[in-house]
Amino acid sequence: MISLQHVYRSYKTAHGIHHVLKDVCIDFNEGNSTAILGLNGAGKSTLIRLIGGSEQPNSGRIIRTSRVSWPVGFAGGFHGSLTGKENLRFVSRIYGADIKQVTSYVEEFTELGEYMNMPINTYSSGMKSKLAFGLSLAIGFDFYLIDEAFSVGDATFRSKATRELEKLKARATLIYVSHSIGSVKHHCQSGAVLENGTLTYYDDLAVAINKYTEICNAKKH
Amino acid sequence: MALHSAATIKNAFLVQYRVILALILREVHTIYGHTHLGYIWALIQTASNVVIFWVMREFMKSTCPHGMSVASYLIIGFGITTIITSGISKCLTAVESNKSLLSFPQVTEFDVMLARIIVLFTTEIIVVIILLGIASIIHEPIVIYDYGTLYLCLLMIFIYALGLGMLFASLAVFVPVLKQLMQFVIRFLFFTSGAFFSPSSFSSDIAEIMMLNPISHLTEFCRHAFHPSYVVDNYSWMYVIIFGITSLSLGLLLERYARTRRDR
Repeated sequence: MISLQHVYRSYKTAHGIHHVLKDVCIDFNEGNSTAILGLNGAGKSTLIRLIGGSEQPNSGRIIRTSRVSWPVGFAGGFHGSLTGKENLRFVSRIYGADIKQVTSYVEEFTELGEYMNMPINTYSSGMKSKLAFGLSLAIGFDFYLIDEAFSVGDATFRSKATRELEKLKARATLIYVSHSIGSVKHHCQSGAVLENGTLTYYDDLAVAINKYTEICNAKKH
Repeated sequence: MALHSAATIKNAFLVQYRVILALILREVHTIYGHTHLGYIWALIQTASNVVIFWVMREFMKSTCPHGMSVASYLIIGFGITTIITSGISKCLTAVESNKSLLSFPQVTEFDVMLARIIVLFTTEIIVVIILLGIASIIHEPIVIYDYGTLYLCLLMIFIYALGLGMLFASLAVFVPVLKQLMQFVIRFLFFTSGAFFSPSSFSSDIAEIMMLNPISHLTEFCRHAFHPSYVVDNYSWMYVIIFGITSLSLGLLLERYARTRRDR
């Protein structure tokens, strides 16, 4: 389970303090994939980073009793001066995973070839994302955080990634951020709508989508 | 409930151990792993400092206090000050250089600083052992007379490096200009540490200023462990320990406070 309890997050800007998340309380349970819906700039990516632990809240608690992935598609956790393989070794060590198994899976999945022995600094952003996605699959998490920036790499890799995601759903829970109603319906059972820093959870995904559509329509008018 | 808590604590320690080990291996690889001379650089750096001040002392016809050999006097002095002053510098840059790795929730600012200090401490201790070994072969045998004092010194050196490192690195979050000012602070700590001239070699005014620096006490105690006739009556273990524990406690507290206030 992942439990967010009275989470607040704000940032200092040139125009003062910008409150992105205000008193967010939500529990994510295993087996119930949840869509995070909201307009651009609503704070969805901030919420995903907080859930993943790459960012800390200003106040409130985030309790994780399950293994949670980093945001898939996000490659910020790699050290630029280390090679792909060295980064795999580092991440495997901190998650207690078998280095050999992880390396061989990622090599085969990403098809990065000789690039695996080159520093991450020399990678394109697509290559980094491929590596991060492959690594997240190899480590094995209970929860996968999937941001809409999931569409990484070329068409061949994207279809491979989509196939893997389908397989993943059988053994893991997704927290899914997307503007695409179609893919949200395909992957999730429930939804949470983020508006003006407040997150509202809906057991029924259809209700969440309706609420999100209302917000979008209000914005248009 | 108690069993569950014990398991949680055990798991937390296991994760912490894995993270620190991974960071240590990363540090070992990136600090010297990319240069052709590798770890020999660490040896060369400390050895060159010793040689420069050895030559200086020879020109000044200055003998070491209490009949200690120049080589062991300088190697011990430089070994201690290098660990502490480099430890402070390394902690100041630890978060910036490991920013990407801090995006993993298991990795904290404390872990990256601790890993750096462990690598630095171990490397310098090995360097000191090698240099003392060389000095022992070409000069005169170097013997450890007081193991208790030596172990306590080693513990305090580690505490000073980590405590002062965390303290200054965390203060720099609130006072960024401190990063620039630190080179003066480190230079002051170095010149008053007694690494190349003991406080007893100076007039009482200067000696008093030097003895405000607890590193000078630590350096003299460490020399005493190798040379029993080395007099340390004017130095205080109490001062060394209180300063060390205070800086470590403040460093730990401030690091925790500064953690959420850093721009990750």
